[in-house]
Amino acid sequence: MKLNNILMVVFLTIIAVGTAFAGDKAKVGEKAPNFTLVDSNGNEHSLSDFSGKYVVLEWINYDCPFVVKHYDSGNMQKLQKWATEKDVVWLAICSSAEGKQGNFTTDEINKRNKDQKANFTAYLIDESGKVGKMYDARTTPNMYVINPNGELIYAGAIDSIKSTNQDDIKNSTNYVKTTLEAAWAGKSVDPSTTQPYGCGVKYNK
Amino acid sequence: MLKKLIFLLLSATLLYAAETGSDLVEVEVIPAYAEISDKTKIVPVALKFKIEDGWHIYWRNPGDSGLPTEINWEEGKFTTTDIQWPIPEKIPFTGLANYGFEDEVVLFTAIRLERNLIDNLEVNANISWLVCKEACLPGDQDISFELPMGREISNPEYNKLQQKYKAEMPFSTDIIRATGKITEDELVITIDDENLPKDVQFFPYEPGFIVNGPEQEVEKLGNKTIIKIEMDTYRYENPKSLKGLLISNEGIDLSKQVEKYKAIVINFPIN
Repeated sequence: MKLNNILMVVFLTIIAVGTAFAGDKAKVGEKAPNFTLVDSNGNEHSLSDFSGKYVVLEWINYDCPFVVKHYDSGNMQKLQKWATEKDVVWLAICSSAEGKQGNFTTDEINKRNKDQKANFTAYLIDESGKVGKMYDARTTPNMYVINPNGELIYAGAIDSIKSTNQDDIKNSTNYVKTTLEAAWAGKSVDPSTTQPYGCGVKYNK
Repeated sequence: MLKKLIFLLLSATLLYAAETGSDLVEVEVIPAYAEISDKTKIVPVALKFKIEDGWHIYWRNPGDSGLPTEINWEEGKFTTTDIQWPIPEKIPFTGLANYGFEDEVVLFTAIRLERNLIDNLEVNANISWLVCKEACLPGDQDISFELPMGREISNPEYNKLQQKYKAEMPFSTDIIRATGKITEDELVITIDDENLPKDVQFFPYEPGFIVNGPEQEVEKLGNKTIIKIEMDTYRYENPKSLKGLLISNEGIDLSKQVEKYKAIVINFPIN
């Protein structure tokens, strides 16, 4: 084979490998990486299914006191309702590994969803933690907002006061709300990232 | 009737067995004085935490999750100083990491008395924390103490505690000079000291800037030590400077000093 041909093959392989890794991990301002997960009713969903819509990702663990703060107060459900009524797709994702806190059977998940009167579009199960690691989800809750072009426009905390105290909710700025409102108004999202607060995501390794 | 009794007993035991975050940590307050005089300006205070085996509470920078341990003072005839934190441990979890304390930790702080204090000093505070093992539980405890006005009398218990914890406190010094440079998502700290041990790591005071999980790369370059750290891609912006601890289990040998230090405070500008 000619040297040129060999070099061409090598060059193309490097590019192919490079692009395979690019976009593997989520970054604000870039295309949110696609994923496919099964929900608590056995239905499969891919992020790409929702292209053309705003999508909110909510990392969840029903037994974490920070998640309890937002659910017992009704704050999360209210936010979910408000957003989904405006055609936003809201996906709760649980990356708790088997045997770890927050990992439940689908029956238990659906029971909790019902008891909590959750208003998300679907509760996706990410037991292997693959999607969590893709989005660098560290805490529950950890929120992400994706615009209709598939771009990640917000990643971070649900609101501005880091605590387990329900009383702090009314005094805090809700970043999911401010992000969506800014995006709908065509304004820039600020802050586009904040440090998330909560319990650590219970990955398997 | 018997069935009901058994049921009640069982429920009571179950309720009793459910531990809260407040059950897993116990706080004791130890002021530096047993009695103060009208000339006393500052009263150092130690807060001794006893933490349930296997659980931990957090440093001022809790890392990738958790909440810092907090003191909420009730208003009184005094102001308070910042907490002096002992050297924390890095607690890794599934690729991420926290900074915190296990077993026992003593936080040091101080009460600054207002000038015309003539009565006994009454101090009340609520200490709050997040205590975690696998799960996390919020907890808190009210503490209070009263110091009679009279002659200034030291509390030997405080002095003993301060001595015991001397080695656990980071050392503040101006001797170490360092600068930082951020390129894309990498921070390179260049420290003007070629003798830093190979296990040295940097723990920032503020969360949200560096990636906490991985071990930081340490290299020697001429007469300098370089630490390479990944920056958090979700950081709001690049910091103009970072303050924190250089930590080494081997111990940092500052030239001209006799002892080795487990941690020293550094504050460096970033280009």
